[in-house]
Amino acid sequence: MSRSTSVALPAQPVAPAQAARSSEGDTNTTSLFECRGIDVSFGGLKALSDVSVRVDEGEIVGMIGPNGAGKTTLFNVISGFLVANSGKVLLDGRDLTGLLPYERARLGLGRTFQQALLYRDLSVLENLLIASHRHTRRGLFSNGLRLGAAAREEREALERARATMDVVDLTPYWEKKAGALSYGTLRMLELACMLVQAPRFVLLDEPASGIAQRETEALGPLLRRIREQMQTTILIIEHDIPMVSGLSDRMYAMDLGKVIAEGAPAQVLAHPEVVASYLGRPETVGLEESPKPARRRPAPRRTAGAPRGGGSPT
Amino acid sequence: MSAGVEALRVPRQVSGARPVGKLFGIAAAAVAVTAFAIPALTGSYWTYVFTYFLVYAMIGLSLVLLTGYVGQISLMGATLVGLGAFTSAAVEVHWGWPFWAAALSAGLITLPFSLLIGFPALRLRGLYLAIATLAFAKLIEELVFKGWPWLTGGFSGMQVHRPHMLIPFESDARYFWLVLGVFCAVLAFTYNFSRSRVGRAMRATRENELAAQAMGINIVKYKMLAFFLSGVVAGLAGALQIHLSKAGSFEAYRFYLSFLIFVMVVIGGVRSMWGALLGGVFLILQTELLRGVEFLTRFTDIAFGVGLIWVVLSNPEGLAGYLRDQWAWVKEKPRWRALVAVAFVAFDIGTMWLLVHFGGQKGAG
Amino acid sequence: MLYLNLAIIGMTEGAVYALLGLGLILIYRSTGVLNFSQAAMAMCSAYVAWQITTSAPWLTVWGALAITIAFGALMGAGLYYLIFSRLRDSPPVARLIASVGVAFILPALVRVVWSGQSERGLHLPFQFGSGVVKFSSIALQVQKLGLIAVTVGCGIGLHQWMKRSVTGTALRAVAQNRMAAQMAGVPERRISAAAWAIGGAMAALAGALYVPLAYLDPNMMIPFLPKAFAAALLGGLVNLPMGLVGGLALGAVESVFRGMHGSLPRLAETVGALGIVAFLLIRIERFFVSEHELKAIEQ
Repeated sequence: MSRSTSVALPAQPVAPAQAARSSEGDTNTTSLFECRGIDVSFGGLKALSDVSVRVDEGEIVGMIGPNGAGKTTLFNVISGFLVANSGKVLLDGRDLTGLLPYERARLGLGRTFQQALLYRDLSVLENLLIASHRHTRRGLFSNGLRLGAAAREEREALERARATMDVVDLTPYWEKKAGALSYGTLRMLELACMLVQAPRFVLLDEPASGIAQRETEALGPLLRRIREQMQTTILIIEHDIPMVSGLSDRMYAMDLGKVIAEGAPAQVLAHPEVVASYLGRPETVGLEESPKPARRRPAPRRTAGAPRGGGSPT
Repeated sequence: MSAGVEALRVPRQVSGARPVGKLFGIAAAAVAVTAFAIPALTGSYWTYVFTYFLVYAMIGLSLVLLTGYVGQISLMGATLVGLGAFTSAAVEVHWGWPFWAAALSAGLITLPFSLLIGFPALRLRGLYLAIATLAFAKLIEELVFKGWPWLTGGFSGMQVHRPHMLIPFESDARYFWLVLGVFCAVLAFTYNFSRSRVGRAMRATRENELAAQAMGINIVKYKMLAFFLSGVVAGLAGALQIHLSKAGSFEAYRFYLSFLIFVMVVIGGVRSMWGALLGGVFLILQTELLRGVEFLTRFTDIAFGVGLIWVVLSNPEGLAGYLRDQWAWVKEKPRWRALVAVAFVAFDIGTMWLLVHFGGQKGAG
Repeated sequence: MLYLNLAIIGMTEGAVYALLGLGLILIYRSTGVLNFSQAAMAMCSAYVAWQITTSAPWLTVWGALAITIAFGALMGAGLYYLIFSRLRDSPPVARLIASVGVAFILPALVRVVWSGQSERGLHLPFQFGSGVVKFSSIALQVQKLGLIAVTVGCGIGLHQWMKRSVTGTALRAVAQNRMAAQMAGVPERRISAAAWAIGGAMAALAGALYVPLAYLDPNMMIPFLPKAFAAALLGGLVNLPMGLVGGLALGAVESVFRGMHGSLPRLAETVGALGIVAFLLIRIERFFVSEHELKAIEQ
C-alpha cells in the first residue's frame, strides 16, 4: 500500500509498547487482528456464542446484523470495556486479555470516541491534541521551562493533529468549539480523535448513523482514504448496507450472538440466513402463502345527484 | 478536498494563542519597556503601588492555576499566602536565612498543606469543596496563625527587612525589579506549561473528568499538581508581599483577603493567567482611584459585587473572556488590528507620561 | 451542671446559627445556590429592624418584628428574581460567585444608607418576658429560652411545611427534577422565589433576634457565616431538622469549650471548622437524600 506523499504522519505513536509478534505459525499469520471463540453471557442471556472474526492487514471488513445481534457487544469485548467469558482477542498475534482500554489503544487499537468523550467547550484542535495525550510524555518542568525535548514533542503533536484534520477535512473548523459543531462534523471529530493516535487497527461502530445522506456518501471514500494514507485496517459495523457493502473487502453477518455468514459482500448479502435475520421468514412473519390479488367488487349503484368520480365501473 | 493549512494559519502554539503580528510585537515590547522603566519614571509611591499590583497579580495567578485550570474552587488563598509570608519572615528573623532561601521555603512550606486539602478535594464536589477550603482556612488561622507566635509573631506580627543578596534591594525601585523579575519568571513558566500537554490535561480534567480518565489522563496527578503549583506560587507571593510592606500580622490574611482574591480573579477571568493580571489591574485601579475621593470608597465593595454578578451573568470568563471575544472579532480585520495595536501603544505612552508628571506626588490626582 | 448551663447559654448563639443554617439549607436544596450572602441578608434586616423601631416607636415589638421578617422575605424573593433566577442553567460555581457578589454589595449598601451608624440595638426589646426560670440548679433567662424555642419552632415548622404543604412539596419537586415539575404545571420560578423568600425571612429573624445582643455594624453577621455552614452541613446542606440540631449543638459545644480551663477556650472556634471538614469527608449528605437528587440540585 503506497503512501500518499501529501501527508506526513508517523506510522506509530511516539512511545508505544511495540506489540510482541507471536511466533505461532499454525493460524493465519498475516492477520492483523483476530478474535477466537468469544463467549459473552449476561446472567442467563447469551449475548455472544463462539464468535470468531479475522481481519487482515489493510482490509476493510464490514459487519452487519439486526439490532441485538451482538455486534456492539463484540466491539466492547475487543476494545476492552467488557470481559468475555471465554475466547481470545489477538492484535498482531498478541493476546489482549486483561489489558485496559487505553492500554489497548497504546498497542494500536483504535475505537471511535463517543461524543461523551469530547470536550464541548474546547476547540477541535485542542480536542485532537488531548486525544494524543497518551502518546506524549514530557511533564510539568520540561514543559514549563520549554526544554528542547518538550518543544519538539509539542511540534510533533501539532503536526499530527494538523495532518489528521487534513485527512478528515476538519481543518476549516480547527478553532471552533466542539459543542458548536454540526452533528456530522462532530462525528468527523470523533473519528479524527481516534485517528490522531495513529492506530493500526480501528473499530468503527455505525459511523454513518444519524448523519445526512450527502455526508454518508462521502464516508466511504473517506474511509478508503484513511486506509491508504494512514495504513489503517478497519472493522466497521454498519446498518447502511449499500454503503458498507460497497466499502468492504469482506463482510461478516451476525444474528443472535453468532456469526452466520462470512465472505465477499455479495455472497453475504445473498445468504438466506442473513436475509432471514433482517426480514424474517414467511412462517414467522405470518404470511402462510403468497397473497392473492384482491378482487374488485362492483361499485354500488348511486342515487341521482351523486358526483360521478372516476373509477366507478358501470 | 481540503483547504490549504497555510491559508488558515493554524498557529504554532495552541490553546487560544493568537498569531503575533509585527505590530503587536512592537506593542508588547513597548509595554515591556514601560514596565521596566517604571521606577525610573515615577516616584516611590507609585513604584510601591505597581509592586503591590504585581504581588496581587501573582496571588491571583495562584488561584487561576487551581480554580481556573482544574476547576477546584479554593477560598483559602489568603491562608497560603500568609503561610508563605510568615515562613519567610520567621526563617529570616529567627534563623538568619538569606532572602532567596526564605522565599524558597515560603513556597515549599505550602506543599504539605496543599496535600492536606488536595486529597479530600478529590472526593468533594465543587461547592462542597469551597466550604471545605473555608473550614481549612479557619483551622489554620486558629491553630497556626494564632497559636504559633514563633511563626507569626502573635498579635504584633513580624517585621522584616528588604532583601540583601549580593546587592541590596532596599529601595522601592530595586525591590520592584526583583518582584518584576520573579513575576515574569512565574508567568513565563505558566505560559509555557499551560500550552503544553500538561495544561491540556488539566483543562481536560476540568471540562470532562470522565472523558479525561477514559483517555488515560491521570486526573489525580493533575489535580494534585495544580494544588501544589497553586500553593507554591501563593507562598512565594506571600514572601514577596511581606517583604514589600516590611511587616505583617495574621490579621492581614483572613477570610476577607481570600474572598478579595477570588473576586479579583473571577472578574479578571478565572480561566486565564491574563485574567489574574486584569483582575489585579481592576483591584488596584479600584483602590487607588477611589482612595483619592473619600465619598467613593464605600463604593469599592459595590463595584466588586456588581463586577462579580456581571461576570456570572454575561461572561463567565470575565474581562479576559470579554477581551478575547472582542479580539476574535477584531483579528480578522487588519485595519482594526492595526488600530488596536496603535491604541495599545498610545495608552502605554500616555500612562508613562502620567507617571512622569504626576507620579512624584503621592496619591491619585 | 456548670457545663449544662454553659451549653444552654451557648444555644442562644446556636439558635442564630441554626436560623441562618435553615435558610441556607432551604435555599440550597430548592435552588442549588450556596448562599454566601445569608449572613449579610441577616445584617440588612437587622438594620431595617433597628430603623423601624427607631423611626416608628409606636409600633409594637411584634409589629416591628413582622415588618422586619416581611422585609427579609421581600429581599430574598427580590434577589432571586433579579439574579439567581437567571442562573438556573449556569454551573453551580456561578451561583456561588453571584452570592459572594451579593455578600459584597449588601454591607456596602448598608454603609451608604446608614452611614456611620453604630449603635447597640437597645431599641429592640424582643422580649419573651423577663425573669429567670429555674430547673434544679440551672438558671435560665426566659429571654434566651424564648429565642431557642422560637428557633426550634421554626425548624420543625419548616420541616413539616416542606413535607406536608403543597408549596413545600412543589419545592421538593422542583429541586428533584425541574423539567418534570414544570411540565406538571408547577410555577417553577414562583416556587423558587418562595424558597428564597422564606430563606430571607429566616435570615431576617436571625438578624432581628440577635441584634439586641450586639452592636449594629455592617460586618456584624460575618463571623456567623462559617458557623451557619457548619450547622447546615450537619444536615448535609439538605436536611432541615439536622441543620437545626447542628446549629444548636454547635452553639452549645462552643460555649462549653469557652468555659473550660487551659488552652481549650481557643479551640472553641475550631469546632465548627472541624465539624465542617468531618461532615464533608464522610459526605453526610448521602444519608439524607438520594444521589439522584444531589445531582439534580447541582444542576
